[in-house]
Amino acid sequence: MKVDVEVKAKPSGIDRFVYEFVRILERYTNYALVSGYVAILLGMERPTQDIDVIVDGFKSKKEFHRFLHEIEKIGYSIAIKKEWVYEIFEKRGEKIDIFTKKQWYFDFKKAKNIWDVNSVKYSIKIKKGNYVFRTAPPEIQVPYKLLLGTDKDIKDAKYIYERLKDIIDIETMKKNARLMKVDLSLIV
Amino acid sequence: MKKTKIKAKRITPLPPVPKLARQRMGKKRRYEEYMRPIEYIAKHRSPKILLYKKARRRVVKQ
Repeated sequence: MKVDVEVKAKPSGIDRFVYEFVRILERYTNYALVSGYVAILLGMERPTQDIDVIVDGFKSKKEFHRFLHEIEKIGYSIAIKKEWVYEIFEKRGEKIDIFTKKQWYFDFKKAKNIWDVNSVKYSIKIKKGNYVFRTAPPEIQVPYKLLLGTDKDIKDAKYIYERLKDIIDIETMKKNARLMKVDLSLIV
Repeated sequence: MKKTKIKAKRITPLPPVPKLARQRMGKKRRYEEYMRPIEYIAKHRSPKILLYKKARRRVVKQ
């Protein structure tokens, strides 16, 4: 399988755990991993508690419940009542948290704005060991992290930029940054 | 800190840059929109736009 980025390292415990989840998810919908986990995937050493996932949406309520049933079988749980969860996620577009038995959880979010939609549609493939993950394109991810603006986000943006410099289209990233009204001079 | 090695070659197409609503309008339409009387805008558009337009006219007058 052709990938955009190959990380030459052994997958860690968190990589195995995320892969187990996205392997099921990609059977139901398109997705993109965003935020801090992408920096960790590229080799950054920092702790995280949540993994942010943006998805396209599910075909039907039945499909969504089938997905929930499947992840429940491998030990995941959600905090919201099952009969409301589809309404909250698909109709209202609110994020839901999917917990595991361990200390992590997934921030599960439906694509709402143009940045989310393009993040899923033009997601890049990152391979680590035998695992392939889809993450948001760096041209969107880097300025978006700067838009969030916390210390942690700026560090992540800088790290992602440094690691993926070779494949980043600077012009596209600058245009996106201009639209988001963020200053790229912090990292470029 | 030891850096993990990375091999990168872009195969996924670049994401398009989204266009703003104003950019999507042609130059002529943008001009026509600007030249419309305030009463027309008050009737057809949101009050927020009206405020924006009034403010702009005030600046022009000064």
